[in-house]
Amino acid sequence: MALHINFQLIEDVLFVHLEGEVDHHVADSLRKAWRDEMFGRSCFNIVLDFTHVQFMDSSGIGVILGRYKEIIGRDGLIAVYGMNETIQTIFYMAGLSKIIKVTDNKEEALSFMGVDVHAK
Amino acid sequence: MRNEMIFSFSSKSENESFARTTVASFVSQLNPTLEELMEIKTVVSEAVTNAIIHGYHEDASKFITIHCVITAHKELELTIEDEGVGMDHIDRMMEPLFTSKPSLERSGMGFTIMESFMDHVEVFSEVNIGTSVKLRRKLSLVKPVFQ
Repeated sequence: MALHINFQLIEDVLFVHLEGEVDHHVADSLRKAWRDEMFGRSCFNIVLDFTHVQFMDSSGIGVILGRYKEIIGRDGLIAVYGMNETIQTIFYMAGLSKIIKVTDNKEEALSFMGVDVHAK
Repeated sequence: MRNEMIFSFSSKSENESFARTTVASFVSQLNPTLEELMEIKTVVSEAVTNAIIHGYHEDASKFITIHCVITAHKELELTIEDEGVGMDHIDRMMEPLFTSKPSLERSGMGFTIMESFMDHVEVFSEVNIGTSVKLRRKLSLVKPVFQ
């Protein structure tokens, strides 16, 4: 099962749109693509779009935690939206909700990042 | 009626999705809820990933075996086995956030997830012999529209 990764920059916020399944098999390529994009653009405000992610296990938690550690030293923030029920359970179980803002949708994630969604 | 399945596959990360999908297909005959299926897929993925990374150190020439049983009481019993390096401090390995491979960005949440999503988790392991993870889960019995 492949994972498709697309990036989108909205002001100073990097959106990581994921589609497919996040497991150990795709962890390395996700880590690499995410780091390349984030460091390439020097953009450390990240929004993860899980709307089209059907599955994620602890390997995905590892990748997110790894990026979090790189972002905190650079005044970055991470928000997420679109998680299904099981992924959300894993997310809370791992304590990620304490360091990553769980939002309901793209607009809420953007406004958490301080981007004025109504001005557009 | 009791039903059983055994399958073995190469210790390759490509097979993680094959393993969890295969178990999910087998479990489908119990008419599980979507959430139950997702949770079962997750625990299979955790145990298989552990076997590949920790049991076999990613040696693709080795095999992982999964034994699935649906008991007469419609309980699911899963055994995920490897013949890898094994471990001698099982209790420590099962603690939340423990990982022997922090450099690989492993979260150390595998066993915690297995324990949360299953009713019963048992780990048998012997150094240089291998590891066997036994998982049990009673599924909700929703009456199907068609049988």
